[in-house]
Amino acid sequence: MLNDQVIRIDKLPVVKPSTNQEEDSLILEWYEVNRTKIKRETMSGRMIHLDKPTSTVLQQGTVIYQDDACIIRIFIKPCTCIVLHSNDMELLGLFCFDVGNRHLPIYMIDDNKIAIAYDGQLFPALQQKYGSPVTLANYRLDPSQIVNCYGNIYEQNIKTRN
Amino acid sequence: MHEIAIVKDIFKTLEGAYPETYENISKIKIQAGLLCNVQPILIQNAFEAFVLEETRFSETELEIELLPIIAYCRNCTSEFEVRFHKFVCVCGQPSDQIVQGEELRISQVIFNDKITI
Repeated sequence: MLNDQVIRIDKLPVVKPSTNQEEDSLILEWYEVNRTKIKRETMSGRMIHLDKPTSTVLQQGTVIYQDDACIIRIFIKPCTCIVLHSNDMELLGLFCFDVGNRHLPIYMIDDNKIAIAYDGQLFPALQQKYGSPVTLANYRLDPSQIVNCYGNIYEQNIKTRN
Repeated sequence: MHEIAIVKDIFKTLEGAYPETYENISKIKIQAGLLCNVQPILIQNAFEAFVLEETRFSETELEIELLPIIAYCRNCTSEFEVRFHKFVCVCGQPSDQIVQGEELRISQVIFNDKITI
């Protein structure tokens, strides 16, 4: 049974391993991961007041709160995405150029697949320009998959793993 | 790409509507249709940049609700949700009559536990 107490979070906890905690989630839309203030109920009904530094980006699974009774993680809702699936680096580059000019984040879903959130005006324009490699599908857009202007974090992650 | 201007317009609109109390707004809710040509992440980021400069709004939240595209089918005389950009009713009739999806509007303003539309 939950009480009406508000959980105030002004910094993210250092996660301590524990086995008997209730798992709870704070559900976010993909575009809410940069928000500095979030007042919202978790899945289980706990009221959260999250007040985080601007530099912290919330990712899928990020632990925002932990005590003896519960652990609260971020859950990013999947959404409809415009997906470009191609091995052609030039095509991928042109697509990124067009989308990047609109200041939109591009997500690397896997080696040959990049995605951006669906937009009803942008999708027909991109499909007309790039044809069949552009499709729609549901994905979770996690900030860890964002392609960076100054060095692809996907590449960096691979190097780190190796 | 004009999201900062949109955020400034939102605050200007609220200042006009609530000149005495607009600095006490705790949450602004916005509805943005998937056809409105405004990307929610850019509005959200523009808002974060705006409140960094305008510290009197540092306690204000912005919540964006994305509205799905709803079209009207003349054949069924009913509305249907456009999923995966298919403007076709379940009856097979295509439709370009948009009922919802082009709007960008302030849907709710909350002043320190008091709700105002």
